[in-house]
Amino acid sequence: MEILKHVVMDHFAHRNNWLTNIEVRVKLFYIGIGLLLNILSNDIVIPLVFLVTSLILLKTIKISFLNLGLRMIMPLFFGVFIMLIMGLHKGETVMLSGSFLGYELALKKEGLLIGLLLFTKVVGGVMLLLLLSFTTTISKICMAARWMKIPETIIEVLSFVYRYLFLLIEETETMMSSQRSRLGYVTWFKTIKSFGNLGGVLLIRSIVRAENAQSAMASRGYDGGRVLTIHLTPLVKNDYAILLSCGILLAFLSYLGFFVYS
Amino acid sequence: MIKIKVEDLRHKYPDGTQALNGVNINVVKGEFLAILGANGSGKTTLLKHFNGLLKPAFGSVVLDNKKLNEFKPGDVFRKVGMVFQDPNDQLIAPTVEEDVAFGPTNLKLSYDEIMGRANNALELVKMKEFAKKAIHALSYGQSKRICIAGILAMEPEILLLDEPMSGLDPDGVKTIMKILNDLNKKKGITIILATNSVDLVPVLMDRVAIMDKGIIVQEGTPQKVFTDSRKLEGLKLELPQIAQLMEALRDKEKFPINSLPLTIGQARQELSHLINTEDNALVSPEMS
Repeated sequence: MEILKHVVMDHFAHRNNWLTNIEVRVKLFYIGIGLLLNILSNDIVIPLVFLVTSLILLKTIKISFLNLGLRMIMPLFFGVFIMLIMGLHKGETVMLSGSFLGYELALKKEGLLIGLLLFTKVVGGVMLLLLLSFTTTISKICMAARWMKIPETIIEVLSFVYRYLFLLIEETETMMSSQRSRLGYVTWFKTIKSFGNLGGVLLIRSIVRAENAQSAMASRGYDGGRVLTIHLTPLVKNDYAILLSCGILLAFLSYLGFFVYS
Repeated sequence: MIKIKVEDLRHKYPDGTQALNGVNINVVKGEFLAILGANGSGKTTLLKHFNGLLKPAFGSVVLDNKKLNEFKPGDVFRKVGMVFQDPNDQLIAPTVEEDVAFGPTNLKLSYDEIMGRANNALELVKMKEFAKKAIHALSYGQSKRICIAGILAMEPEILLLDEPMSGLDPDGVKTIMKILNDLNKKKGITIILATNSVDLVPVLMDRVAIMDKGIIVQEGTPQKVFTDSRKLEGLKLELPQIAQLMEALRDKEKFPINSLPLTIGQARQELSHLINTEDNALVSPEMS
């Protein structure tokens, strides 16, 4: 629970620093194009460049390796898993072989190289998204989404998910503590039973909470309109300058990735 | 001038609970009314009828001489705002500013008007510096103040509050009390507050209505209502603590107290008066 809380906490995005102050549309342009290049690249150079630049940028605003590491555990796990699967299934040049539970396994060079490319793509892509999440609040992302004409319902759902995620974690934590203090997790059987109860009660509470929230929204005149109000201000000279710099960097990376290393 | 008139209001929930059993009450413009009652007495159900969140099964609720069901949808909410007991039910936006702006946005106001109202409301609850803060980062007391701001931004004529002081520390209670007092006395907003905290009532409210089993059993000024501790105990309530002390001094120590003080200020005056009288009685014979 503590790790989950740590991973979703977003106070970094509410801080005041040079990265949080960059206009959200500029950041989304850089990250959106970056993700596209990352996916389309045929070589590990582009994903690695995004990985390293994002890491350097995040270190300039003092994001610790612990915070990065906690958020990277799952993507790294999946990256390694994909690399191994590719190494086992594709290619001809055997690099390493052995038997496991009676099965003959062989890691092949070509498969591992494809796996490595996919691994770097996963890590590079996640790092780009972390750059966004560490420096941009959900409100700003919703504002930019509205500016991009994304349907209001999606924006509404996004803002609700954000708002109630923290509440869900808080309620789960309180209930788990209460179960734990009454010896609800001392044996495997009790743990499974407690988890089941927890899930059921959380579901019922969510329904009650949704009903109450709906009443409260109705009493504030909500009839299916907007949940969020605040608009984005027009882009200024400084934003255009950063946008241009990002454009040049991305164009250079595209040239490097698609013409020099392809 | 009567703002709300409730006649023989009854309400039954789908599970069969008869929450209201024929409530009759008038709310006068500009007054500060407390609906006092034990848990499950029907306070919240009554509040929800005042702004049309619940429809009467029987009886009527009249707002400004017009039955609530004759209002266009949404018009009642412009006039009557409700602050819910649990802030997590009410706060739905990611940031404070967005949440306070939610109500005015639904009133289809201009962007400048919305932001102006949101800023004014935050100013009224002394939370302007929290405008950009994430809702989940607020303390419980701060959340309660943002709930009030969210309703004030709609500029209602009547403010309903469901247990606004529950779960607050003494400082939080004091802050909310001051905010509500200012809104009532300076802005002239009619306030109806549901509570089971008897200590609060004499300090703030002009009038009290005591509810029990879905009906109003007693109604009047705090001085009129808080006279008989045994009757209150029968309603699962009690006198304010300072009044209990003064009652004990009167009944057990035979202090000559005529009218029961309900606030610390009134008790201080009564005790000073008694001490001065006692001193004079002791000094006078020697002097003479």
